[in-house]
Amino acid sequence: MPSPRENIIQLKSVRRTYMMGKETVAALDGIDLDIKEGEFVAIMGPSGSGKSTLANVIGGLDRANSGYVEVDRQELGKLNDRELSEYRNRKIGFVFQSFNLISNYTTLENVMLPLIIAGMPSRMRKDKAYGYLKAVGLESRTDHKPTQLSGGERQRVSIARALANDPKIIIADEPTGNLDSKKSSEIIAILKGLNRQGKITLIVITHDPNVAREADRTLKMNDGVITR
Amino acid sequence: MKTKDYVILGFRNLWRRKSRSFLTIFAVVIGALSIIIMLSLVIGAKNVATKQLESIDGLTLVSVSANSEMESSGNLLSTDSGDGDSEMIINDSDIVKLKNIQNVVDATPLIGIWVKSVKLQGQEKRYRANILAYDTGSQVLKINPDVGRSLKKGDMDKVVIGIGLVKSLGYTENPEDLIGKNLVLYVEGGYTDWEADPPKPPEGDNKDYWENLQKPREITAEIIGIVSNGPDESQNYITLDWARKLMTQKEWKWDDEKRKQMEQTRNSIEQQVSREWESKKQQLYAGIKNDASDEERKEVEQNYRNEMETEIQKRMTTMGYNQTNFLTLIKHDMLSERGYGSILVRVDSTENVEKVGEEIKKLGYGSQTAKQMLDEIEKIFNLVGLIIGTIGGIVLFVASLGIINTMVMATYERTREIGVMRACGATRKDIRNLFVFEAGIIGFMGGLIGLGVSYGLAKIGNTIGNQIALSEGIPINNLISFPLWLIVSVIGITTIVGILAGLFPAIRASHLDPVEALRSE
Repeated sequence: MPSPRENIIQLKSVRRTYMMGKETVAALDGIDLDIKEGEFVAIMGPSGSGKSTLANVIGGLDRANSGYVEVDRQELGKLNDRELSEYRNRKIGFVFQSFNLISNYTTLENVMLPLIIAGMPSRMRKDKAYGYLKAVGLESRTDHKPTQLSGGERQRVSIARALANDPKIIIADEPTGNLDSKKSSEIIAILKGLNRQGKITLIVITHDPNVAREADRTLKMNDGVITR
Repeated sequence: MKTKDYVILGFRNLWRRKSRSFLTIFAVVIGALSIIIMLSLVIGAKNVATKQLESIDGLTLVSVSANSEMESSGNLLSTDSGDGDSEMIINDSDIVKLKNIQNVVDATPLIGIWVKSVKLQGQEKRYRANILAYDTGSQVLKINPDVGRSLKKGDMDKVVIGIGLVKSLGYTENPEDLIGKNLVLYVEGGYTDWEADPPKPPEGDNKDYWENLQKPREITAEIIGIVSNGPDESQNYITLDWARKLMTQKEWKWDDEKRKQMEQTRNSIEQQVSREWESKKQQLYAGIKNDASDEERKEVEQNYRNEMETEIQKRMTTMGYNQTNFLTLIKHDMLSERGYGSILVRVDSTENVEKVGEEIKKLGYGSQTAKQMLDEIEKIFNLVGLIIGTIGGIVLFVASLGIINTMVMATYERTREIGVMRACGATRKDIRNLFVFEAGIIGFMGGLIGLGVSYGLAKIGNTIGNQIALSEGIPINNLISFPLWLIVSVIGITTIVGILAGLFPAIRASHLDPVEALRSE
């Protein structure tokens, strides 16, 4: 284990509720959580237990109704839309179960998306995106459209996209959910490599015990609370 | 995000739905077209009118006609004196009267010479042409040819031609080559004083003779100058002096007075001869035998009559009587009989034009100033422009509904994509701008294509319009014009319409919840 590390993520009594008709449903019902920098955390639990909501709140896609969320010394509750968007752009990389690549863009363009949003000059962002595609072993597929790629390749593209802006944290919501076991272990190997060599904090939501086994720590969730 | 990236992404996103984008743009094109046609018509008409007036210093001109009720014709050089109701004719005494009005510098009659057609000597093709005669010595119309010389007082069979005819004749590239060439004018009807006398009519009714008289005849005129900056491209000019000759018609008339006189002379000679020949007659009749037949008697009588007729003719010839002497050549000076078509008056300054115009009206003439003419033209074209402009506005409004529809559909189709962009760090503003730019591009492209199409239409329209104007003698050339501000404002208007139409869908898209958006199918 590396030397003692700081908490990069701190959650205190975080609640996130939704209105379902007239009823209030708590997706997160008082979450207290600390995650250290460079840690690999797996989150498991049945569907509807609040895993994705927790990931989205940490990633700045969603906001907590109450409680305290601090990531990399920024209190997310105090950020406005522009600041929160910038936070997602600079510090977070998302990897989704369904890849969420833009079908009209080429592989390279998909990877460039966060860089376009960041306003990086065209030459620079091309080089950078190419570098990350190379890192996931897809440098020969830069001009392909997502539909021309296999599932595993698509997920590697979306990992390259998540990496494009050199984030501190990667949040992967069931990244292997749509892949067979061979492709799954490839993806997990890539993510773990980023965590180990790149010192990127990794949060993976998964149903797969094999994936969870790779993590430093596994959280179990049920009904909006962390049970273990 | 950078502005450049909004534009690039906007174009690419429109390209994804080519046919839908094209149809949406097409509606904008139609709207842009109507607005362009409206504006260019209004501008064009003003341009033409002012150009015409500037070229002849027209703002100090007043056109005078005999008919005080005359409607504005929109053409200062009109020689149309209105419908023939007017009893009044205008002639030289009127010119003197007009010249005496205070602030009037000079006045010239304007006479439109009617010719059936013209051609260049040696060529076959004939063209329509307007020929205008004016007093070259007056200070009113200054027709300054840019090639050749101008008309001088007393110039006969000389013509200064307008650039319109030069174009028709096909000498646009080298107009100077036309100088010295002869223009053949085809006239028909009465013989003019410029031509040789018409042949004398034979005795009795002779249809062929009268038909021959109606055939078109050639009159040649030397081209001495070409004017391109005149008031009217289609107008050609000759001197008043020659016009007077051309407007004087000649015809043979039987002289009834002379004929009556001859009848009387003949009667008296006949009486005289029969008196002198009384004894001769007696002798002749006495010589007839008693048993002579009726035929023999008649023959004697006939011989006597023949002899007497020969004698009468002999005596009349010695007195100078001759059959053809009964024909006299009559000349009709049409200018004196019918008066001038109109008179053009030059006023000393623009401030006095209106006053002089009123003064002329008080004298019982019809008058039209350049300003009135401009107002007339503007009124007509502004009305036409207003109608087309209203239609354009409606079309553009409908087009904007099309843009809204297209953009709303785009936001629905791309909800998930919006979620992805938000996850990658796009702000609400980024999303809004992305769609606003896309809608703006639809408007911009519509304006641009509209301009391109209307530029092509204008080229065709001007070519056809010029030809019609030339053949009909309407003083209009290149009616449709495209100043820079028109181009800029049309593209500006359609782009703004696009942006405004895109605003609602764009704001809607920017307020989508990213989590919801990512979950959508």
